[in-house]
Amino acid sequence: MDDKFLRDRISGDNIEVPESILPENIAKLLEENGSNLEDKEEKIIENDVVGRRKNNIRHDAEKNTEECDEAKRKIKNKNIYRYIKSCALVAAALIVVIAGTSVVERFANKANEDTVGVDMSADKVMETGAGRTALEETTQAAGDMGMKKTKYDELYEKLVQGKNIYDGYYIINDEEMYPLNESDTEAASSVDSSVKEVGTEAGQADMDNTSTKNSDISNGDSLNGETDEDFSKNNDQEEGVSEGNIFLTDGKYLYAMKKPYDVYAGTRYLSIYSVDNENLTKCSEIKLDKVKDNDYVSYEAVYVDSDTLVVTGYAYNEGYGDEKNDFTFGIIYDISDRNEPKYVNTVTQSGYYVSSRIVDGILYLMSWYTPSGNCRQDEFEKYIPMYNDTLAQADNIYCPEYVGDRSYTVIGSVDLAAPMAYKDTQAVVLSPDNMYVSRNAIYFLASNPEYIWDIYDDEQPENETENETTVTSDEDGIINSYNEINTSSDKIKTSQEEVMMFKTNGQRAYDKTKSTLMKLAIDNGDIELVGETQVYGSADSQFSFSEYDGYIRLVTTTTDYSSGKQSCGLYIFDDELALVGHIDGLAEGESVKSVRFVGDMAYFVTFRNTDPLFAVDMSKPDEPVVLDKIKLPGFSEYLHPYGDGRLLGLGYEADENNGALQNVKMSMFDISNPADIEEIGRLQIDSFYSGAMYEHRAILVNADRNLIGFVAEENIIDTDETGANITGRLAQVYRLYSYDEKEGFVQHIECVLDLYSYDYPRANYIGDYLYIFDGAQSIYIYRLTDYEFIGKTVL
Amino acid sequence: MKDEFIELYAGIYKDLYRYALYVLGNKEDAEDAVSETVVDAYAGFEKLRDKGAFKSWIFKILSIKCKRKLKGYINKDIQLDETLDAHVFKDAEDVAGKVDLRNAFAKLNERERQILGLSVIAGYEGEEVSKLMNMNHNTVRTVKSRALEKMRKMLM
Repeated sequence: MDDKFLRDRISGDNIEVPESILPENIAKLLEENGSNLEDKEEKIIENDVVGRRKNNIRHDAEKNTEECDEAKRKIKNKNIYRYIKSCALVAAALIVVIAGTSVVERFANKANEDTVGVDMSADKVMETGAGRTALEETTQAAGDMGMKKTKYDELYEKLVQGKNIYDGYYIINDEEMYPLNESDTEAASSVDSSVKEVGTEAGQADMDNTSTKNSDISNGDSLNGETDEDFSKNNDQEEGVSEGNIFLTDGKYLYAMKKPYDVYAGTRYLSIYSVDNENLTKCSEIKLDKVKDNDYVSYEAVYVDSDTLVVTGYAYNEGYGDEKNDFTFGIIYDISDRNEPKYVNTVTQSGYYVSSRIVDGILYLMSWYTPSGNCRQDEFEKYIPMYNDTLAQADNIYCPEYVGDRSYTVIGSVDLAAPMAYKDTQAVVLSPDNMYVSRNAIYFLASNPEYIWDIYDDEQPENETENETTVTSDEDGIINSYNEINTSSDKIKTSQEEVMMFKTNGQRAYDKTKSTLMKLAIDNGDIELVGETQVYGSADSQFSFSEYDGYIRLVTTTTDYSSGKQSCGLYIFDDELALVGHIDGLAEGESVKSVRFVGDMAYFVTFRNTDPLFAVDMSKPDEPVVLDKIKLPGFSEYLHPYGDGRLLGLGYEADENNGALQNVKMSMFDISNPADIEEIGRLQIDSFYSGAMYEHRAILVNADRNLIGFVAEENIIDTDETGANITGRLAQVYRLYSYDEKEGFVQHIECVLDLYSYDYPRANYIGDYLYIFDGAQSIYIYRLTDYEFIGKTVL
Repeated sequence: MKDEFIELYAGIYKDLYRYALYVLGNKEDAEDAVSETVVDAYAGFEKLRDKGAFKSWIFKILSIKCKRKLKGYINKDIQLDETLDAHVFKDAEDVAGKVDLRNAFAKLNERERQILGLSVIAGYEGEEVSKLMNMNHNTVRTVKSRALEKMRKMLM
């Protein structure tokens, strides 16, 4: 490194070190910070109010419980000064709060009722008699001094002032929760040896299982069976959980959200067409304009729920960095008369659009809100999320004690039968990377950065007894650290058991990527925080998750930072997020590319140079077993069950030697015997990219009708009549295939779209006609009986 | 225990303070950061088995302390830069050459200051810096070389 010049100069800079931190004065500094050790009152306040810092527990590792408490206090003492200072601040702030009471009342929130005392978790209260007294005293004292600390105060401290920001400094080393233990080696070896027998027994039984499940799933997924009408359903991951789209059909009408070329300017329209085979008749057009006077509006998804139409998206003002104005909205229309849609209401909530769903007639809006980093404590609207311009209620905000990020995930539910107001709201301080919604719950997965910051790593466990105590006090620490600040303390489940479960092995597994999995139960619009837990790795997409039979299963990619190596794992948690079973350390050096859960089975593809497809049997959730894995060139980015015992993969060819990506390919896997999966069909497409792989709603799959449709990009050469002028362009080409057991993939339609749209073009069918929407302004109509192009309608 | 701690501390306190001063660009905050670090480090000292790792360990604590303080400056960049300049110029009257250096350092952005501080003052290797900064190794390398380049231009 050529930084020597700088090193020399800096070390030559004879700075004047302040007296207080000169070595000779350090002893004094340390004494000052340990001197008031015996001061009971402060101790108690400190212990109960500021307490539960993870590192405190760390220091206690070698002590018994009493000494442990003592040590806790000792360490905490250094904060007393700061604590008292902050009390003064809080008191000062409270005056402001009182001054602003009218505002607070207007928002009808309960902020002021949440006292510090109430915030204490149950286990603290129950701890000991002394603990109880201490708590009461504390509460009393706080009350006497007029120092009620509201949830808003807490949020202000953490999110605006940055206190308790989770930079890992206070994180104890709880990396050892998922040691790579024997079960992994077992699992790994079972791939080679024991698989065969497991495969024959379990696999056999599973075959039937799987096939029934398969048809279940495909029914739910995209089939409509041969009931009254035959039309394409949205390619939603879970049956009954609608994900919306920009192009939909309900069998009689087509709904298309037209976007101008420049999606962030100009006016958008939502067109409703009635369909009679090849004839499209425009019923009406809804102008999607500014929302609440915001010029910049991004419309994301359209839902049709019988006679209700919902459009979701977000809006923002072009202003310098004042992203605090961003809001996510849902606009609700009554379309009982398709010719005359009636505007009903617009609901809004703070933050960028994350996603939305409709489950059982309830709209769920998810947004991501970053509070202002520089505002006064009485400017609630700058750091508390709002719903319809009303501050979120304090008890509907969950903030972990230590937060990794300043942002909230904001969730609101709206009953479409009573759409004039939110039904329920819940905001959590969390920045998830992935989200998955089942019929019963919303799951977030947010990666934790803190593993890197564990400063006490250097400590090596040296003897058994010590280790045992470490575990006990860690346990304590984890209970503490995962306990909620929330008033409704029993709502949240600590991850203690899970952590303990992994402790049995005592092996350490440092420096691996880890995420927080959070679950919020949804029931007819009511959103309730169930709890959170920790899991190794991070997820690829929403398809990496699946809730089934009360279990939440997920597949993750974990990076081991000491070796830099990736590996894959599958984790199964029960409905309260207690870990039930797991396999990890699979596919070393590779990352998960796609996942599909089919009933009791999980199929996932990992990739480095080749494409292993894993089949994992989870019929015994506590003992997931790898039944088979096959290695193939290339990999699949998207997997979709395709009728009985078949799994469709959409992905890329790749060079087996260096993993370089080549053309888009489709694969058909035979999964009828999960212990012996094989690729039975493969087709390379003359295209290098298909955005549909990353937007499953742009994929049309229907095994009953034997239809596979998606768009891919390629370079098209246009020649004019004379043949003299040749021009090349990048075009999107929509293709429709069927799959034949003998002939493999058969292409039927190749529709070169005139316009290149940034929204992936997508198609729907009704009866025997296929309608391809270019994502912007036109619908191309094909007849499915003979795959003839009928015509193009400009919307 | 305490003596050993103080002895180890005496060996590196200048570097600690230097690091905090360069990264934070503010004497008071640097002093705070170091004294907080000392208190926390002492509290965890008995857990540190390998006393040879003392330097990198205590720097780890300090770097986090500084990171926190910098986080506290979020959205206050302008004020921060003003204090930096004020501070630097005040010193400028004393020793011209040295202050040029600090002045130049202050012109780097937060991330560059931290990365340079960690590698040049604390003496961390590239990999360790990327871990401490929670950043990709390549990014750290890029930021560092860019920061060095800036420094060189300003100083030479």
